[in-house]
Amino acid sequence: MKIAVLVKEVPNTESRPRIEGGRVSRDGIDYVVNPYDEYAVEEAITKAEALSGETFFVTVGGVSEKKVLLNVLAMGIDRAIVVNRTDMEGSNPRGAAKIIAKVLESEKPDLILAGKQGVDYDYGQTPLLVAEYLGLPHVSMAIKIDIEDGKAICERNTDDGVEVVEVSLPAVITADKGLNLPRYPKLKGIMGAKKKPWETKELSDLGLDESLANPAESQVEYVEFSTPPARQAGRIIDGEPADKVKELVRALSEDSKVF
Amino acid sequence: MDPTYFGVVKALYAVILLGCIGFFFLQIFQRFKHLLKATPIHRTDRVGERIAGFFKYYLGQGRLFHGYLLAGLMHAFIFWGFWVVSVNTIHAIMGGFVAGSHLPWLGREQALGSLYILCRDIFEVLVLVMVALAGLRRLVTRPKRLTYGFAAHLVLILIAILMVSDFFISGAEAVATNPHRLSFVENLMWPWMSSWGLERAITVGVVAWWIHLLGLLYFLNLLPNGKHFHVVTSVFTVFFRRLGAPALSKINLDEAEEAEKFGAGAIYDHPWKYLLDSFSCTECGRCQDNCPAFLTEKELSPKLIQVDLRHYLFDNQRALLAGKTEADEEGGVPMLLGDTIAHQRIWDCTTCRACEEFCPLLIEHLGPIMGARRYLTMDLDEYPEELTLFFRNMESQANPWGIGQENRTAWAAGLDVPIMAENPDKEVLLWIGCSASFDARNQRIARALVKCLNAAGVDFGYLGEEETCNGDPARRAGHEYMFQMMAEQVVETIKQYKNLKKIITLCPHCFNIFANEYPQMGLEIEVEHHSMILARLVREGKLKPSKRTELGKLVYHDSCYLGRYNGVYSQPREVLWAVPGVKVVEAERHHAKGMCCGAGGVRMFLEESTGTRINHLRLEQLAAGKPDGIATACPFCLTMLDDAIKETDQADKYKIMDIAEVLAAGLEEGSA
Amino acid sequence: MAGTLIVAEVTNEGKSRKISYELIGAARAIDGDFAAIIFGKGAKDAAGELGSRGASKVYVVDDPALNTAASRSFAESVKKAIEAEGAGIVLFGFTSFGRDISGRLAAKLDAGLLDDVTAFEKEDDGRIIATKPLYAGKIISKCRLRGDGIQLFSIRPNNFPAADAGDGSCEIVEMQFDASSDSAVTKELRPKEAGMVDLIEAEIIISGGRGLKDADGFKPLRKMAERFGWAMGSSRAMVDAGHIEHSYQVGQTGKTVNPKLYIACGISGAIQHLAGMQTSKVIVAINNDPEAPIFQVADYGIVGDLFEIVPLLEEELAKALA
Repeated sequence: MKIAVLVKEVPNTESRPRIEGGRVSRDGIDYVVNPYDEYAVEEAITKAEALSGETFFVTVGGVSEKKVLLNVLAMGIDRAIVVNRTDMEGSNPRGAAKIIAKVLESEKPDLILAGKQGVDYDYGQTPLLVAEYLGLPHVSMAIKIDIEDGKAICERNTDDGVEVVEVSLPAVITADKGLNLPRYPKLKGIMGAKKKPWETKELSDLGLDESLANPAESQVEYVEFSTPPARQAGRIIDGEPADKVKELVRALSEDSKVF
Repeated sequence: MDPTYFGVVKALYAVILLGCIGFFFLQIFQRFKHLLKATPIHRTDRVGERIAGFFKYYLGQGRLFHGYLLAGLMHAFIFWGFWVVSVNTIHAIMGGFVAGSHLPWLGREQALGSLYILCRDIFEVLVLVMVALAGLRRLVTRPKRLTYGFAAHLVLILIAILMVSDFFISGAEAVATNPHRLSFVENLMWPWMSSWGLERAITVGVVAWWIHLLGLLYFLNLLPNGKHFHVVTSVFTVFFRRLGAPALSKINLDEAEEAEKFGAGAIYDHPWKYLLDSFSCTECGRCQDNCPAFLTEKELSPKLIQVDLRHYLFDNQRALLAGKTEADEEGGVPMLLGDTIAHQRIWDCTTCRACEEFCPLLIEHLGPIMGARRYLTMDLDEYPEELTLFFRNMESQANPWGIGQENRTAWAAGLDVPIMAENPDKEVLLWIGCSASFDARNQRIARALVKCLNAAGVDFGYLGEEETCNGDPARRAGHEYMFQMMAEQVVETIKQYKNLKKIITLCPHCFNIFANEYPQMGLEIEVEHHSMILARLVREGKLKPSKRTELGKLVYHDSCYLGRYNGVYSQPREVLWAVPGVKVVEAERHHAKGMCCGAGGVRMFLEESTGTRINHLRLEQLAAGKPDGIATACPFCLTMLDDAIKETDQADKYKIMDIAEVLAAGLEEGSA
Repeated sequence: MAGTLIVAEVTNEGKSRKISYELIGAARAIDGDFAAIIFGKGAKDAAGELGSRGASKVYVVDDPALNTAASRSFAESVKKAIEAEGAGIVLFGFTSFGRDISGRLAAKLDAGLLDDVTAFEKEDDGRIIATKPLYAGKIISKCRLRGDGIQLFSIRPNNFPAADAGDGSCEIVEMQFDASSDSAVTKELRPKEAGMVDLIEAEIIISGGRGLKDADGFKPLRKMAERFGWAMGSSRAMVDAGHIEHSYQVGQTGKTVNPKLYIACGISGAIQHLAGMQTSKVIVAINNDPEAPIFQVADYGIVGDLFEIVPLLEEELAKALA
């Protein structure tokens, strides 16, 4: 059983990206492994442990310090394949997916796991693009995965309830919150991570054209970035109790769009 | 009187004597081998101080009276008696070979010897009285801190036998010669024993001598097998004690990585000094008597950690010396952690150091506990579940709660406090700490402190978003690796400000780690806790709290990391004294005896799921004198006690304030 | 021939979902003219609903094979509808259904797909500019898709106005469905169980603290959570006092949650509690102490007696969610 995990570095969820020169600046941003990808990593490790499989991760990026991605190895993934492109962050799902598909074509994993979306640019499509490019089936947003007899039986949350989907392997499965609780890496793992195989690839190594990663050739074009008005300090709703509650429900659905 | 008047008996005596002494040294040597196999630790520096400590703590029994005066006197007299009587013991041993022989100048008829006989008598009687008292204590008052069992009684009985038998030896001596003029024992025994007739008195004397000698040799060989080993080892425990601040040792992580071990899991992973400590533990129980965990019915007793370490070494001596660390086909040894010392005991510790403070032998209780924590955290990854989130937060947000860095300035909203990055020439850095940065309640401490410092005209800056946790709670959680990562970051941040001369912290934990442990990380800079600078400013007249407050009777709660760790007891009190309308009162446990709030040693971020709550017990102690409020000097203490107040629905009864808030309340608005 | 195709969604009972009407709202923001595709049992009735809201044509897939079909086959059907309709723009909901298909389809068509869009506007040359929040809403971007090909968008739920029923009607085109090419098979759909959900997975959490006073204080919260399918949480104080089990505890030493709505009732907001819920998207605080730190992190605060407010809130929400 060979398991691939697609991971991505994203800014720490608590960090405040700033806009400089019409772009989102990377200055002063701490990166972390995309939280949804951590579910995928955890699942890959537990599945590999149970099925005595091997694991590796693929990323297109390398925008952060190496220690961020080393963390994935520290958690227990066996090796790293890093396609070195720092210019694609968020802007080019198709390009990223084509690159990843190319890497996976030669690796031929039995199972490809990924987070359901990156919390930076909030696309949820890249793993699905990869699936289509590789001609593989997929299950998105899984909250439970069981592997038996060359099949994955997954549960996913839908608005109607829990859908149980069976898919034959190889397949792409994306992870949702609730799939597992990602482990905190052991110190031994952190120390050992530096010794694990780490492959860095350029597009030319993969026989891909540079234009694939060129932001100007991306399907997506960003016209403008802006920061929303600073979050207002908590608004205390005044009035008679019944009115307060009415106003709260209105604000929740109309202003905050919760309902 | 010749107790071994017959040649064969003399030979028999020599064989018994040498055999017993030989066996004693053989036992000692086996014990000593443990120390040779243990991890090295450098304890031969500052010899002068060590010798001074020998006089103060060993000969002077200096630590025995600390909080336990009567028990201390009881032991001290037995101890001094032991040394005084030892000359007599040597004479008794020599007398087995040549009757009446003695050490130079100490013969019965010599001046010094005469004087000695008087001392001997006094101390023999004193020892006997103290032994009787000790026996009564064990039978009648039975303090909880002691360990009860036959062994302790046996030793008391043995000592009594030694003393009483010596009375009979003296008596026989008196009958055979004449009662010594300075010996009241001989003068008391003589009329009685001489009435038996010479022969019978001598026979009794000889029997007493044999009882004395055999008792002594039995006692000697009993020593290395239990708590009375301290008779032999305590002098070394005292001599090789830790000098200086109670800092955790720095682990060389590169070396540790090669050794594939970071903490102390097996017994010999601990430094030899900690094993020696366990040999010396007298089971007096003063440690557990002051241990917040033990007092709230947790599994941890610092005493039993020492006892269990010792038993582990004694019971598995052969297998351990053969290099075994775990169970195997041939039996092997039980695991030290888990089998012998349950993990929970290691995590129960608040690192408050009350145990070390009260140990008469200066045993380093925290050493094995922290070594084990490091092992559990870094080598086994077996730590309380709650620490997972704590570690994640520390790693990703550089604070225990995972609050975003951009909130580091929230506490100062509207105050216009200079930020270092914009004022890089400042000489004083106010280190806010995570609690006062993020915790809404404790942000008020920082604001009050700023008010005080501004009023005194102190020029300072703070780091704002550049401030990251200095790693103290990670280190106390045993995560040395994380600590070093975080400390390197902090050192780098601080060192970019070349003009900095001093750091003021408003958290005792930050203060302690900067003052005592950051030098290991390459940062040596003057550090003051805010109680220290505030007290000084008050003393120098730069802060004159003149506004009458209505705060009333405040009981001051000592922070462990200020008090026991750094001896800062008076400054916070001085600050309180200065404020009009404040009367400072003391709780039942205060100063060195003050009890921990329960937050130390990363316990702030752990659930307290066994026993009763430490903070509730501490609140009870503080509230016993019916104060109007509680003053603290540590944000964690404040949180813990505030929680206890709320949890017991006493918010309307007691207010709780930091000393800086109390002082600020006494400052006129706009005063300078 | 409409320029826009929306991929509508229908419940298991054959009712249009709210997102379907929001998709119509979005389609209207782009161009008046749109068609729809809808899958499911009884989708035909739902199709009428879409027609009444302006869909010119609705492609209906109502086939027993749907019960076991998975994403790939759905994507294939949408592709056919696009071709049949000659649509240049396709709109999905950024929902578990929409997300499962849209990426797949984008790759099939080699078309650009912008996810999680919250607004549309049109440039003078007719090109569509989408508003898309990034970094959890900390940056707002405006972006568009290059080229002249088919453009795909998925819209964030609860953001576009849901279209109201009108008197329109539409042509209904029934489509064949072929699930044979997909190796993924839906085995079973376990309907949502009524009652509370797990804290970690919950979208909405109602949580109580010391203000609830005792174990009985949780009753109105529990009632609400069960009624609306939320989770219930607690502060440490209530757990420590023995009023509720530790499994409910949110905070530093309990569970860390990040729902889209967190309602804190009678919770003062000690840092150790904030550590467990500060990343919630919207925080509501109900507390009788106006000084409680929880108000500093709350988006909406109500100062008052929670035993009065909470039942009112339940009634008001029941009306709003009906």
